[in-house]
Amino acid sequence: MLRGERISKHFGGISALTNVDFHVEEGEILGLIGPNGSGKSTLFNVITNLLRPDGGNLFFKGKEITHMKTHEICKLGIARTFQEVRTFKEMTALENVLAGVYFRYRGLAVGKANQIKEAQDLLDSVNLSAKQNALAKDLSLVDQRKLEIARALSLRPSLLLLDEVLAGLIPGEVEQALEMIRRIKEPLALTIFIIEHNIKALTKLCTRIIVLNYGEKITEGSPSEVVKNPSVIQAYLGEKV
Amino acid sequence: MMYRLFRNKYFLLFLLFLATFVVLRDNSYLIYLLVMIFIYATTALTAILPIGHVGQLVLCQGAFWGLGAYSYALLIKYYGLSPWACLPISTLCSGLVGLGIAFSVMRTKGIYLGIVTLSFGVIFQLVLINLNPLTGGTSGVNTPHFPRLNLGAYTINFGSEPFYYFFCLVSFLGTMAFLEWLLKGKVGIYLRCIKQDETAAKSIGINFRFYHVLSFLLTACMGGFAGSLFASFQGFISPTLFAFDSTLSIILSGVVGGITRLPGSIVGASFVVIFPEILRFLADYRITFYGLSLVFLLIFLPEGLTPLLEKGFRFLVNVILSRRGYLKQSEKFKVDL
Amino acid sequence: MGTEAFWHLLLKNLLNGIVFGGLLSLTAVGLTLIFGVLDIPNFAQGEFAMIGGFLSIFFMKSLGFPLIPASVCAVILVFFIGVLCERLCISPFYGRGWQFFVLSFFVSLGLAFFFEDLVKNLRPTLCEVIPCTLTGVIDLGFYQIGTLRLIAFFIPITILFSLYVFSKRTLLGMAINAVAQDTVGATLVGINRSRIYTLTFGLGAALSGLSGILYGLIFGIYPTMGMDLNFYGFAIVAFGGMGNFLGAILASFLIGMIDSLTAMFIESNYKLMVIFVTLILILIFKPSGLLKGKS
Repeated sequence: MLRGERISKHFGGISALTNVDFHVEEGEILGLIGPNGSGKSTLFNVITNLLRPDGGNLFFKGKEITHMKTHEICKLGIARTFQEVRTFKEMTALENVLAGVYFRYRGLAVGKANQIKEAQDLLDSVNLSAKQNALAKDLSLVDQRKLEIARALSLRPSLLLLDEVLAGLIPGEVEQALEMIRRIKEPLALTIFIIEHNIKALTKLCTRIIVLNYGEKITEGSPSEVVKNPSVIQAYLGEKV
Repeated sequence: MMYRLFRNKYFLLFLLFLATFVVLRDNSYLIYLLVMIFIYATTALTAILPIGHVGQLVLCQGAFWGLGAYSYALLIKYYGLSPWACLPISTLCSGLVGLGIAFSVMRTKGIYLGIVTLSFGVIFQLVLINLNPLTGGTSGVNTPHFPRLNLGAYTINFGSEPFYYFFCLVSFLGTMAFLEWLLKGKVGIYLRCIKQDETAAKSIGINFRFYHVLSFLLTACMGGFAGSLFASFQGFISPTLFAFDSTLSIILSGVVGGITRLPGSIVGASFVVIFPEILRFLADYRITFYGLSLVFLLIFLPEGLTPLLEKGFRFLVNVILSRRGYLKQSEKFKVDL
Repeated sequence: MGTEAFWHLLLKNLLNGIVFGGLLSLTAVGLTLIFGVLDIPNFAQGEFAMIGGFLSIFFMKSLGFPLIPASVCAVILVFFIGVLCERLCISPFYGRGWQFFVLSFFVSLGLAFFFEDLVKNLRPTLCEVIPCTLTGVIDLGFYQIGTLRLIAFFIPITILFSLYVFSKRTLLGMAINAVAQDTVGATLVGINRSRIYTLTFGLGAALSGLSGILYGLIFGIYPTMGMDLNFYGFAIVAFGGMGNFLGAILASFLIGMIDSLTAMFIESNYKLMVIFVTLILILIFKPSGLLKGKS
């Protein structure tokens, strides 16, 4: 579904991504792990064209998207959340999701009431209905993460990019989050590409995992393979294990 | 139904200024001030839109004003067009320049955007002065009022003060209504999203470039329109009127009224036009005091004057209506400005 | 005009431009400092220069001080005026997010109006050069420069250099840097943020005051010079990157030279226009200024 060939990105003298090849199969949940600074979020930024790649090509459903603008990529069906939560802080939760709903209904004459209803349903699916009129900046971090997911879903994407949505969650909340992800995946026919540090959670969720280190892909495979891979262990724990 | 009409702020504002006209119609000076307030208010919207709603630091409103004013004046002077035709054309001219600026500053952000637009404003004024004889340089250009219309037995003088009063009033209300309608819907939400977080906005499908340019276009058009009204009313324009000072007054009207509130434009415009007049008794220290009061106003009322007026108005109306028994005690008259 | 004479004229203008730039650099550095630390575009910066010049004239003419004590007193006074402004008019706005930006811009504007008009009323005919006994000329063959101008060039250089050293070596300087880069982090290491703000604003004002005095020595003081210096100042700071100390210095010289060259090749009237056109072109292609600046 999504394919990246030899993606490279430099910042000044630092190489954030070097010749990364990856692909996301339709319908799978693909995990992306790696130590801090390995280029995971950069990859997401390159996919959505918030950063332009210095080398390589991206293809989504067969179409080349390397040079498409971010909002056009959204039109094709890719939505994302952000590691540093980027909700619209001065707007209510409902308005945050409504902004996305507007996008989905572009060009169609749909009544305002229907749009609001859809936004409310989305908030419901992430258990935020009670707080729909709260300003985003007043919500807790967990709720803001949920809000970001709801907002991303409002675009009705076929590919959802989740960037460290589990960071800062206690184990109980992690379980809830995983359950929520599994719950929304099937009805919405989502393919999910998820960046996480919580490897244990990913092993429960993902069918396949890619590992980055210093901007390069060091391995990919099923969770059980990746976890046992010595270069992965070395990357996370350092030279001397 | 009548009740609903009375809660519509446009209706109320129109009534208010209609009444004001009836009361003041013989006082030429005050009518003049009021027309200036309407024109300034229309222009103040050009500060409130980009700065307050989109977060673009636009500092060349004086230039858009000037563009409208000078296109109006020069089109009449050199092409002999009717002033009525010149109004939309000069709005268009200003809009085109706004488009040009918008495309140039696509990637410029924050304070740099402010400085670039400021530069445009300064350059525009310098161009006006130096492009003698086309623009008449520092000696300015005469701008005719709206012409008379001969309808057989009657002559309608469109150049008369009462006409300008109502024309400018309606123009202001119309522009404000248009802007409000625009901002209520998708455009408004998208612009607010862009203001708060450009990256997130792009990621939910908002075409940043389009809305960035749209904001500039609207600002330039409104500014140009107000500028041509200004030229038409004043009868004479010169480059000094469109220096950086004018941009400051315009933005000030927006800020004083409350830079995120559309009705703030009329409140702020009133402040900017009337306050210096009131301060006349201070003679030479007028502007000193003006600067000082500006500082104090911003410190104590950073939201602008509109919320205060709103509260006052609501309170007054509630008192009157409940005294007369028109309202149950529990039901409060709500009008949202 | 022969080619040699042309080159001499060009060089002369360039050097004059650099001297002018040196003058402006103090105001510009003050401006970029205030923006870097407090995030305020200080529209009163030009006024501080004017006040500095005005005060030194006042001290010299009305109180009979000689030049140096008068200037020192003037600069110190401008520092305190800056501190006062910050305490009274700007500190109420801290912590208000984006609103702070617009509001502080307007407050500084209000202050600018206030000061400019105050001086206009106190001395309506103010249009004089600060008297100075240094009238010698240093002759370098093809280039003559007044001793006064030479000194007026070296003073900013010295001061800026000392400032730079100060910011890197002393604790206070590093504290200022820290606050400029990360206010929250700075408070976490025990830096009193609001005191740094006050200090920086006063410092920025004082630098501008000194700039004004130097300007007054060479060109003269007049009440509306505030706005003119403001335009130059903002153009310089945008060129060099807002908040970028070194950038402001380099840009000052650049702008000084552009100013001079415009006067030489085109008319004097077009100076500001050329500067702004160049500025716009640069900002279109390099949205954060020539060197790295914060946004």
